[in-house]
Parts: sequence; C-alpha cells; structure tokens
Amino acid sequence: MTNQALAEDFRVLETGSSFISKNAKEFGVKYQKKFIAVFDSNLIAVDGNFEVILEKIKKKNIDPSVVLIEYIPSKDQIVLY
Amino acid sequence: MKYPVQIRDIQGSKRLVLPILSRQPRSFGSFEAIIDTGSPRTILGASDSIKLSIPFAKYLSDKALSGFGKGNVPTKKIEKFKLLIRANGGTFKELFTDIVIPDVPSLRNGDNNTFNHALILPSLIGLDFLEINKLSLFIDLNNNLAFLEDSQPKT
Repeated sequence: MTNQALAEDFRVLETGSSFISKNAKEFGVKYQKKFIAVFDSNLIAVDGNFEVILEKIKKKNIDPSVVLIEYIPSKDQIVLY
Repeated sequence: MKYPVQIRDIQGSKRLVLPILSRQPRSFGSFEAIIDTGSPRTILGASDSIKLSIPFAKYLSDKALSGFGKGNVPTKKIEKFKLLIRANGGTFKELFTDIVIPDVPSLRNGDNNTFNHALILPSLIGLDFLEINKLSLFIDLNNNLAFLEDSQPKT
C-alpha cells in the first residue's frame, strides 16, 4: 500500500473520529444503548444490535472494517474501563 | 514526535481516544481505542475484532479477562499485532503490540448476555502498549489537550 493510500485511510479515520467527538453529546441523547456507525463525516447506521448494524453497513456497500462503530451507553450509567 | 489523542466526552465522562489503523495481515481496517492507564494489557474489543474479521481459530487461548462486570471473558492472544498511528504533520509510526482479544466463537456458543456485554466493550490501550512502543502520554484536560509522544532516552 502506498503512503498516499495510507494517508487517505488516516484522513477517513481521523475525520470520523473527530465527527464522533464533536457530536458526542447529541449522540448521547439520541442513541443511548445503541451502536452508531460512522464513516468519514457521516453517521451511516444506528441500531441496538451489533449484528444488525453490520448488515446495515454492508447494505450500503461499505466495508465494515473501515467504519467506526461505537456503543453509546445509557445516560444513567457510569462506565468504568 | 507527537501523536494526537482525542478527548471525548461520553455521557459526561471524559475518555482519551486514539485513532488506529490495523495493518495486521487479513485484518486491515480502522478502529478507535480508549487509552486506559488502569489496564495492564491492550485489548481489541469483541466488536472491533469481528469488524476486522480476526481469524480467531488461528490464535491460542490466553488468560480469562476479568473486571468487566459479567464474570470472566475467555480470550485469545495475538502476538505482534501490526498497527499504525499518525503524528502531527502526517508521519506514520508502525507499531507491533501483543494484544488480547475476546474469544468470540466461544462467547457466541455461551450465554447470550455475556456475548452481548462483550460486544459493547471498547478496545483499550493498556500500559503495555506505552511501555513496549516507548511512548509517553501527556494529558491536560483543562486545556483539552492530550497526545502520545516518543519517549526520550534517559540521559
């Protein structure tokens, strides 16, 4: 893989990561106890079931391996890891 | 060199998030990991392991994982998992790190609640990652600044 291709992979990854951070509060209200899938700067799927969200991503002809999938915990939980 | 770390507020709790590219053969892709200085080991979460199509059968079982609320989670170990992180300015750093993965096939055959719980656990960067890759961690929550940096050898 060329450095140019790697740079593009990082661009997509970092854009998606920043998008989640910027919208974390809104996602925390709207999507509690759900998985969100973000590709580049787009929220492409939401579901409470991980297997279902994978199917939703594949139906959009996007490879799940390049999509950021994050679980949004409930507002009344303190999650320690 | 400095490698930016995001400070993300998730339901009122701040987390340090590192964007990572997997360059492990057969499991290319991207994921995020939470930097957890309370964890001695680096863990690729069950959902990220599935997403990256990790060939679970290829790896040997490791110690069970505890401390995640729902009993022990069976695991496997991948030695020298190949990763990339990117510095400010665009330079890539290639890293090889031993990681623990939940044994997803075993979890699928077990209790449904345990499997579902494993799926919501994120990937974690543990202290081993920082030590092996000679990285130091800087955090200034008050100024919303966090990064990893190549450790300087002692003079």
